[in-house]
This record gives sequence, structure tokens and C-alpha cells, in this order.
Amino acid sequence: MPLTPSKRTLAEAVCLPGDAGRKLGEGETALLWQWLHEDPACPSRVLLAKVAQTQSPIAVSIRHLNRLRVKWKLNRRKGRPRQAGGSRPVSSGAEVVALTPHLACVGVHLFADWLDHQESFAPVVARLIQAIQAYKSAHPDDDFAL
Amino acid sequence: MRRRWQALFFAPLLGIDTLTACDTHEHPLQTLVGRGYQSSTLRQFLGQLERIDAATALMPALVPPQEGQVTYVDGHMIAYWSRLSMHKGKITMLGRIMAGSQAVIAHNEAGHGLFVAYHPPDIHLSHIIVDYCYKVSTATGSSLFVIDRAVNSVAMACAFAKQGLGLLCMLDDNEHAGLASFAATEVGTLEDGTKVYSGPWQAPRPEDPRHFVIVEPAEGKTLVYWGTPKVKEALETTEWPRVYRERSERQENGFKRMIDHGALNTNYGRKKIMAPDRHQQRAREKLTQALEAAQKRVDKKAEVVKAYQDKVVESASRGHGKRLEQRQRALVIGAKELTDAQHQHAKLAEHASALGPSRERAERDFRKQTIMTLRTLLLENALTSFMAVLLGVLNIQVSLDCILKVLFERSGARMETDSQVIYWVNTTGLSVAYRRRLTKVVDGLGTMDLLHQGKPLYVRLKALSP
Repeated sequence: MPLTPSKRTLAEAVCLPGDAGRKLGEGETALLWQWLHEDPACPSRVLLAKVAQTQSPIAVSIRHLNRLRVKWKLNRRKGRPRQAGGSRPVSSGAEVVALTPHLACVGVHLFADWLDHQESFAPVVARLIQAIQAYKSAHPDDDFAL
Repeated sequence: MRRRWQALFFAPLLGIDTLTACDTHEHPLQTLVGRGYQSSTLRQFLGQLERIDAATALMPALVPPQEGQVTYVDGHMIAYWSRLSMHKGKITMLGRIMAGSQAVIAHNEAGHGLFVAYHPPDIHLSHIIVDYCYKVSTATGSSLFVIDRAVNSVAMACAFAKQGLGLLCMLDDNEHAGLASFAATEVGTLEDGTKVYSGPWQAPRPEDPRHFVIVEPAEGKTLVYWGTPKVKEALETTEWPRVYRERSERQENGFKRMIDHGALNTNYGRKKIMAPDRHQQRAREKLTQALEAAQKRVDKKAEVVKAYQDKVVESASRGHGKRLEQRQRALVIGAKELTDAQHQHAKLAEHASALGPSRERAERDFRKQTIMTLRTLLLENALTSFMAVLLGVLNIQVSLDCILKVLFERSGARMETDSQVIYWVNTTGLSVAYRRRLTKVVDGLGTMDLLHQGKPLYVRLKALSP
């Protein structure tokens, strides 16, 4: 029973690149497959630009390319292209480490950051550690959790 | 330990006054200190701090590196509710005589909290203030104190002078008759044009070491400030009114601020210690003195009656007519006075016996309360420093209260990338004027070069649809 192109595995697709489209040869299809495998999230337009830069341009439309990507399961989600790693775009283009969309008492967080930068807690913690040491040495048998 | 301390430290700013509020309040401790805490954990931590006597260990952390010249001291009464019989005092803010605790707090000229000690509410400030100020002086190096009229007395001035401390205080209005009471000379004029005079009492009082500064406004009552010799040496007399007036902002308003956002009036720890009932002791002492005086009066009246009786007998034996009558009348009056005195004595004796055997009253164990007030003072000091830095980069005047309302209490969002941290502050519900003010504050924060773990920190405003 002949398999429909959509049901083919990726390996089969690689083996039978000529079946993918009558206009593309084996080598051309393999080249496209390789590029897409190197960067699966690469937008099709970027890929077309790459194609155009080759010595012998491949006659492939963006629609054809998209169909191939669907078949090879190398297509992207709908919407604007994302940055590497699928993270949200930020103004600097940096990777998001943590995102808290709803934060209560924003000013207190800013104040806490300022205090951290000033190392305001260091003297307090140092004094507490001293007091704990003094207590432990004065009461060696006490069970002390701090 | 650092995180638990931070949780206690920031709790009042997050609306957590009592520790049990951690269990019911929607608080951002998780994002703020990296972990959320329940009240049981924080209560256990506070118990551990109590065991290691953290209050003594942390007290020096209040003292700023630079030594101040003047220290302001005032007492603050905090109400306490209990079913046990406890010592009572006047809780000023509630206007009631009830159980509570008296926090005696010292601030420096910049408004930084320096020291705190708790005392039972029935002990008057004048009984503890000299020892307290000596401790503060040892801890901070500052030996000039400004205290309100609770310590106004010659005895107090002498006690401070004896300890080598300076005290600036005020005279009560009934202690002087204006400028006429003093041998004062004009020393300057205040900004509002009021003349300032300085000098000792008009009639010499060798036992009184105080020097006086008199401010006589065109209208209203004359204000008389007094200082011990040490104050006179250290401060220009023209400065005394200004230095004393700053007490209101540093302390009275400071207490109000700490009540509002520092949980100063919240009670922590319910441990109590049984102690002799001082109210009963005082009542007994007073009655014993009155009984002694009544007994003396009875004895005296009895002697008088006895003398009249002898005189009546003498007049009767000598056959006096008119004199006998006079002496008999005097004897009747004397006998009545004796009966009255005996009656008064009996009444006092009855009151004394009604006091019953010596009783006990509960007293608070102030250790946890002291640690938490220290926390409040540390928080207030940190807020004051933050405001000083913020106001330094702003070109507008904005109060701490305003910052707390428009910045600290607002919600928003936070995003951390590998190179920066961005905060968004929601502006929903802000009036145009406050939004403008917040914009300037946010701009100011941008120039403060805030960092979070080495990453630059940016703040933006965010308008949410209602």
C-alpha cells in the first residue's frame, strides 16, 4: 500500500527527497533538509535568502518550502519568529531568567534590592552569628536549632 | 537565618503586623526573600532569638558610625490586653489607664533610632531615665539629651549633672511668671522675629544648677527652656529652642510613622512573670504614712483633752465660775476633735486592713517585644537612609508616607534576564498628580544605579486597564 507523503517518517523523507516535489532534485532537497535540521526554528524567508545566495539557486517558493517543513516536521509555530530557545523577546534580546507577571509591593522589592546592595543585613547577621556562638559555648548541651 | 530575619524585617511593609498574619495574608515573601514563611516558623525563630538574647547583640547595630551631638529620648506607651491582673499605666494614645508596656526610645539628630528599652507602664520615666541615658551615652558617645517635661525637675538636672550628662528640657508654665522671674538678657532673635533671652533665676537659687533660655513671643505664652551646665557649654543658647522643637519631628512624629508602617504598637510574646503588686505596695505605703500622721494627730488631741480635763478639775476645785465654763467648753471641743481624729484613724486602719495580704501582679517578659522593636527601629533607619538617597536625586519634595503609598504598596511585575532586572509598577487608580510624582520617583530610582546581584535594575511604569 503506498504511503501518503504526510505519513512518511523523517528518515523516509530523507531517503526519498525526489518525491517531495517534481521541481526539486535530490541534492537540492537534501540541502534544504540539512539547513532546516541545523536550525529548525529558522524562518522560511531566511532560508529562501540562503537559497538565493547559493551558486545555483534552487527554484523553490516559500509555499513549497513550508509544505516541505510540515512534511519533515520541521515547521515552526504560528506567529512571529522567536529568539533562540523559544524565550520571549526583550528589549535587549537577553534570555529571561525569571518572570513574575504579578508582584505585590513592588517598592518593597526595590527597597530590598537597595538594602542588599548596601549590605545592610550583613552587620545584623554577623552579630546574630556571634550571639549564637556565645550561646552555644555557654550552653554546650542545649539543643539549638539556629 | 538571614532569610528569616529578612522576613521579620520586611513584614510590616507587607502589611504583616502580628506573625499570625503570615498564615492569612497574601504576601510576597517568596519573591522578596526567596522563601515564604508561616507564622510557626517565624515564631520559633523569634523564640530562638530570645534565647540568645538577640536584643543585646543587635542594639549596637542601631548606632550609626558617625557620632551625633544630641540625643532625643521619649517614652511610648503600648497597650496590652490580658485577663491577668497586671501593672497599669496611662496609655496616652488610648487615653486609658490599663496594662501595657513603656518603650523608651532614643533618636539622634538625623532621626535614626539609637536605643530602646522596655519598662512596666507604672514606672515613671523619671525613675529610670538617668540609668537609661547613661547606657545610651556609653553606647553612642553622645552625652547631650533632649527630653520632654516628664523629667522636668531640679533633682533631675542635678542627677544628670552628677553623671556628667547634659539635659535640655522645659519648665512648666506654673513654675515661672514670664521674663520677670529671670535675670535674663537678650541673646538673639528667632526667624519669626521672636526675641530670645537667657539667664538664671531672678532670685538666686544656689541649689538649682540650671540655666534658662526664654522665648517671649508677641502673642501667646512665654516658653522657658532649661539646660544643665553641660548643655550650656556645648550649645549656643540661641540654638536651644530649635534643638528642643526638633524633638517633635524626631520622636513624636517618628513614633506615629513607626506605628503606621513599622508595627510599633504590636505586642509580641505573651510570656509573663509574676511580681509583687506595686500598686498595692504604693497604696499601702501611702496608707501607712497617713496612719502614722493620724496616730500623731490622735495622740496630740488626746494630750490636749487630758490638759483640758486637768484644767477643768483645777477650776472646779478652786471654785472658778466663768473660767470653769470656758474650760468645759474647750474640753467639749477638744473631745470632739479627738473623736474625729480617732474616727479618721479607724477609717484609715480599716482601709489598710482592706488591702489584705501582699498580692502579686503579672508583668510582661519584654525580650521578644524588645527584639521586634529593634527590628522596627532598624527598618525605620533603613527607610530614612533610602529616603535621603532618593531625595538626593529628586528635584521634588516627597514624604516617606507618599513613597510608601505610591511605590511600596503598589503591585506590578518583575522580569529578570541574564543581564538586567526590570520592574514594572502598576499605575492603575493613581490621580494625575500622583502619577506625575511617581514618574519622577521612578526617574530618580533610575539614577540611583540600583543593582540586583550585580545586574542593573530598571523601573518602568505600567498602566493596567481597570
